[in-house]
Amino acid sequence: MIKIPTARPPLKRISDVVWEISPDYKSDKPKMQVPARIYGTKKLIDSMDLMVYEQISNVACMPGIVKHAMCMPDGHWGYGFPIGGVAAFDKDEGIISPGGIGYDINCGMRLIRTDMTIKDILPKLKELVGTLFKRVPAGVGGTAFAEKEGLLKLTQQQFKNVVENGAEWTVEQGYGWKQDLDRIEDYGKMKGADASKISQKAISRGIHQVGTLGSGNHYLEIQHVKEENIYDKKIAKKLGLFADQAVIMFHCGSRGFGHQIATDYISQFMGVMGPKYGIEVRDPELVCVPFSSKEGQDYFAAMKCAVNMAFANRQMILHETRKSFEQVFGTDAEKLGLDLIYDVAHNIAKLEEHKVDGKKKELVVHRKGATRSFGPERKELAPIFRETGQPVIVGGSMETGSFLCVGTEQAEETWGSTMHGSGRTMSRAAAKKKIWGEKLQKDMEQKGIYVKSVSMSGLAEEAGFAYKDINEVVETMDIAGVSKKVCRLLPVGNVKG
Amino acid sequence: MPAKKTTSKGAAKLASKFKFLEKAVTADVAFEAYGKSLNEVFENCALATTETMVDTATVNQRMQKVIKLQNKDVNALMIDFLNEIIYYKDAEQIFLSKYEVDVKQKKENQVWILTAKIAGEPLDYKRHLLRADVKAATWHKFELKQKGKQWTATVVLDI
Repeated sequence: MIKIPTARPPLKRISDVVWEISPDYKSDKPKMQVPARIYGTKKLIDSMDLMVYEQISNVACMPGIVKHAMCMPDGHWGYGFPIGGVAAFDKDEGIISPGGIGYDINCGMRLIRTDMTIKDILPKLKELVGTLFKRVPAGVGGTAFAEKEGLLKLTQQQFKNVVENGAEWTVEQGYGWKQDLDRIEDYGKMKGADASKISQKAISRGIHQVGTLGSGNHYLEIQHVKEENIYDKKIAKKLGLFADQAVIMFHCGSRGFGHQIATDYISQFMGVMGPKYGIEVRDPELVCVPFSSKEGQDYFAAMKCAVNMAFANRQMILHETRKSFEQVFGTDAEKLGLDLIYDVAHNIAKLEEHKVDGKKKELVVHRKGATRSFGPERKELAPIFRETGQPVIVGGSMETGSFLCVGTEQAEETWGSTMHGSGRTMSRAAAKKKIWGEKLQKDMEQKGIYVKSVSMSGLAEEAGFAYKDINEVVETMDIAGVSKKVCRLLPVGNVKG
Repeated sequence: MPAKKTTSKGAAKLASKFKFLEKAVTADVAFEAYGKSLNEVFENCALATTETMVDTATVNQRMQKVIKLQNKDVNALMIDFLNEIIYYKDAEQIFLSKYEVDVKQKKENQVWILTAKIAGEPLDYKRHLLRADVKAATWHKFELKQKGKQWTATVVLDI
């Protein structure tokens, strides 16, 4: 077990929002190879979970790490890497680590626009939320495909197609529009996914979950774009947003499937990291293998299966959302303007080209609870984003709202990475003790937010007071120039598991 | 029929078997389970895991399952066992709520063998009081220790 610190390590101020731990902080083996940097305003740094400093400095000790180990301003304690952890490793000398990706592989966010104003939505809000609650399975044991009329149960072979082809498969089957794919990270399909690298157990867990929301902090929300909350009118317009618009956002990942893949490979890596590769880490949860090894490549190919399953999952949920709007408003989703703005991953590892000391290098970038934030110059983005940069969707608590930002060229300092949400500060157990789910639901309705949840205790756990101030988090990365604010989105309707 | 929740008498009974830890983790769920034997602490860890997902007072025992696992390390065996319960929730949509566990170490090769007889039933949205969707039992802060006759285990579940 790693020691729990009682004080913050010495921090060197790099800028108003960047703070550095020197490699001298851990000089016994395995020692820090590079400094660790934490992003945050002074207010966030002063209240930052002390384990973040411990964990991110442990990451800085890992083999082949390049430049800095970094933590985003929404950082808090996680498995191995802190949530908000970002680290890049040399493709040949470095490692790959499941703790740097997360159990919920490709947990991510989607934002969908509409041509409707909030005034168009409000009279039918309860009906809309109720319809979404019926059409999008959520909560414990939620299953899709098998249960829905007109949809076939997925066979093993179909599921293998899903995990190898992601959102591309779902669109080919008629669950989505072709133009959706340009608006998904990696165009909705990470190439190189290999279904032969995943266990039958993982398949059994995932086969019924394509098109399900999950529970915990996962949700589907109807949101309001208030005029005073649009910070960059030009970019907002280019991305299809306007004052008083109703938009939809959801947050979910690869469900039990991604978790099983993480569990399977963590177990395998534990057996070979030391004995076969002679790697030592300061925390057993940082278990890793060389990226170029057979085990590393197998895990990367399996991880891509989970990434693709999550893209397909979110694509199915988009399909069901469009169908729900059609049912409630009696008009085609195309006529209602329900276009995808963007889909981002915030638990993932990518092989990306970045400049290291002026030279182009391929790096294994780990983002755990951190979102890609690429500037308009990056070739990975579809041409539609040449003028704006990549949309970055930042999920806040269900009471305080979320943000849309865009990536910048300056983001190269964090390997094109930024925050993913507001970050938890209070445990689930403590939040449940503070408020009953039923009371929270009533309080929120009085504030104008209508929530339907499968679990009342689950709802209480997600109360706004359990999270950091999202404004402070988003402001940090805006000041750093890594991601620029476009608008703030306020919830009016919410579906939870 | 409305679900019959855990009563205060039932809650007191559960409190002697395990408790949820408020300060141990932020985004997930941590519990501490107890037992007068290794078998009992395994049973109570399994019960705590199911209680995280559903109020077990609302789950009937209409079906039986036997789980057999083995591992060189008793700690890894516990993690594997809890992950097996989570697996059945996803793969077969069943909740397992009553546990009878037998854990033995083989003398000849030191391998630990677990045999568990478990009772439960398929998920029923109308009767089961659902809680959090548990995705994995993790090694985070994991502990399995014996002090005198008392066994204690600490487990963090990923939500």
